Amino acid sequence: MAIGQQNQTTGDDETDDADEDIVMEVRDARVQFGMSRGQAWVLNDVDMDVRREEILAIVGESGSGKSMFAAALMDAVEDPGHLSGDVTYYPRETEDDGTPSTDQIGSYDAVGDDSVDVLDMSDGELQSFRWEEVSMVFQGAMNSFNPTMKIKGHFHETIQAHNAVLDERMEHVRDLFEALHLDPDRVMNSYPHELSGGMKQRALIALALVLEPEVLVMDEPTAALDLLMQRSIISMLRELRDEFELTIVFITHDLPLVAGLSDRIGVLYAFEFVEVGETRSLLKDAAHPYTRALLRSVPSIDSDIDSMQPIEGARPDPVNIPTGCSFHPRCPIADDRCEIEDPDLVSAGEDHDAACFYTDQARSELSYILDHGSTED
Amino acid sequence: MSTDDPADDIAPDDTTTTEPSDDPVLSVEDVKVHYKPGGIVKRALTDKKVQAVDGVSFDLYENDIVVLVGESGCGKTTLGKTAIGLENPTDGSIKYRGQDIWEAKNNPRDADIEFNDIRRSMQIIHQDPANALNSSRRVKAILSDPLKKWRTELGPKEREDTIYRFLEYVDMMPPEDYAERYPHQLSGGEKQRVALGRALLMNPDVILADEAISALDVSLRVGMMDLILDLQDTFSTSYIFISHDLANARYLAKRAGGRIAIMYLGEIVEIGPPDEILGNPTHPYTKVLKWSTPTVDPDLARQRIQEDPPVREVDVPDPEDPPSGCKFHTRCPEAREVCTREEPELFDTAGESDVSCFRALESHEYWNSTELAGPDDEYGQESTGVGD
Repeated sequence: MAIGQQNQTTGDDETDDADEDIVMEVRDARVQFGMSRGQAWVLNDVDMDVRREEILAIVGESGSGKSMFAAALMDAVEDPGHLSGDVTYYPRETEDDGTPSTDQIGSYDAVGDDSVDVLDMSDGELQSFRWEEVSMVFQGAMNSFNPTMKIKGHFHETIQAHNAVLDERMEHVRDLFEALHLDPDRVMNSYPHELSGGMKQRALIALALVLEPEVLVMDEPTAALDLLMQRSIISMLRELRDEFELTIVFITHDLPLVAGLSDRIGVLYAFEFVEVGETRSLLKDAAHPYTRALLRSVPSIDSDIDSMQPIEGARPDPVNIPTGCSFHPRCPIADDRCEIEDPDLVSAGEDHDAACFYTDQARSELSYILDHGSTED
Repeated sequence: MSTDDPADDIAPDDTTTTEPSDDPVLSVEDVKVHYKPGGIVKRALTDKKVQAVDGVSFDLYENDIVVLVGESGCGKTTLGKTAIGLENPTDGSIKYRGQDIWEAKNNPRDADIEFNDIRRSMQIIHQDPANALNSSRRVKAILSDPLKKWRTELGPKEREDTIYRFLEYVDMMPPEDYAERYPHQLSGGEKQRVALGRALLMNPDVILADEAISALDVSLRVGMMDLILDLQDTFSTSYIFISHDLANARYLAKRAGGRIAIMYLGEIVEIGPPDEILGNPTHPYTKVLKWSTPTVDPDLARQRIQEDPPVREVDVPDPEDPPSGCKFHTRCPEAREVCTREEPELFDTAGESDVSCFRALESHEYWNSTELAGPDDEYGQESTGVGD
């Protein structure tokens, strides 16, 4: 696909292959907050391509900027935060499949061919963009249902607010419910309190997909759920992606959660991506010292407990991010160069980039052990 | 008990705990906690009860650690709170060094140990450190409250020294700096360490840590658990740790030589050392929890995501109306007819763990009983695996 190719703003050009079909492109996204102590940077010139129909996991600890990244995708950064940079959305190139969004797209400000500048939309455009093209599910959002309204009411309200055809959409909802293993009749006619947390969260995912968006952004969607429900929803998300040709951006602090789910992982540290790569390559052969330290700190049920180590040091203050590489104060292999120069994302393998000058050294000197396949019952 | 031992503000190991003892610090004996559901009206009209904890027994020894693991609503927090005397059990007893704690409260004259002393010996750390600390007071003020109440012999200078020393114990250096801060000037991990320090100020014998590390970042969890374990050695405290995460439970129990107790609908279904529980899980529910714990190995994870969960039904039954017989039988892939009517007790197994499942017994009616039909409900019970 040709539409994703005008990105040249990245420091390195190995990030985009010729045949990549990109659905959202983020360039130099920066979010600032004015604080009494100074300017806080909570997203620092971030670039990212979201490929069509991929599951992209954004992994970061609290205060790494991961929720800001999600908000930036939808131009939903709240005041007094200020978002600058470019977020471009590329609708599907051919519209012969008759997706209902076809006629909507014409009303957006077109930047090039069919691309849409998300940060340049009016409020009205944004409102339809947010449900019809890019949709979002938040952490604990299952509590955002109106307690006095049946689940059905929430669907009707959303459909009508977007002037979509009710019967047609409700037909789609039945398909969604099926994919999410929900009984449509029972769930639709229930009040929120009559459903378990897992059911509510699944109903909410269906609600987010009711207008057939291209992209689903999920911010810690399973964090408040039990492990078994969490695993079940993870499995369902892959099915949903395949069945409805979705692109999913999954934001989490929990690396193991996305190991089986995602196609690619982007690791955020101090409001920047420090490593982006194909899931298997990134987990098995992490190139950035932070990713390696993170993998070593994750408690697991079968690796040697002595191999688990916390990451020394504290996370950086958004008002006072270290110069050079932001990880250098905590990095065991940092030297003078890391204190002065900020590394760009460079290739660390096929479809795998890391922002570190010393990836080879990190790989040979900083060890970590993944679970080995000794867990079969 | 040396609850007024003045030595403990210098040397944290107090005299009673240095001598090894086989007697449990805390005995939980057949404890039941039942609640009536709903508001005032519903409560008056119904006979229904939620059996939050239903007949649980375990002992906690000196320097011991028991990690309670289970899904939300399984009663692990209620059991924990009941065990340290914050909640009155409907039935059964809690004994602190042989003294029934509710007897001590209700009949103080007959008690060997005063109720207040018992309560002080058992402290709690909550899940969310942000809400556990008063946001309008400095760390110093937060930590001086318990000292002012219970250590009245200390002057202001000694009190300050004690606070600094405890801040050092929980790795908050320099203590003079941290003591002057407000909670919002601390990170999540630092707040949790203040809460831990506050609990330790009372030199307790037992600390209930209710999901004390769940709110922390993944990279900090191992560090916090290590700190807790180091301080356990220093102060010889026993812990009841509540967690929904088997990986964390394993780390703690393995490091401390403790036990993991798996809870389901108000009962302990399997209890034993971590290697036994995870290496050789016997109860089908333990297997479910183990299966649900995500792995970071991408090959294994990708393979597992396509597997069906080892349960017949994903959702937990209504605790107001728990299933008959074995409470797990509605979801259990191994359930047979006998499981629907007979309730298994916690059996001793050949291994080191105790399991409440008939399958742990070599000869039992179970083995001749007819198997229950497979999944019958289309939603919730069928496979959630993917075929890509």
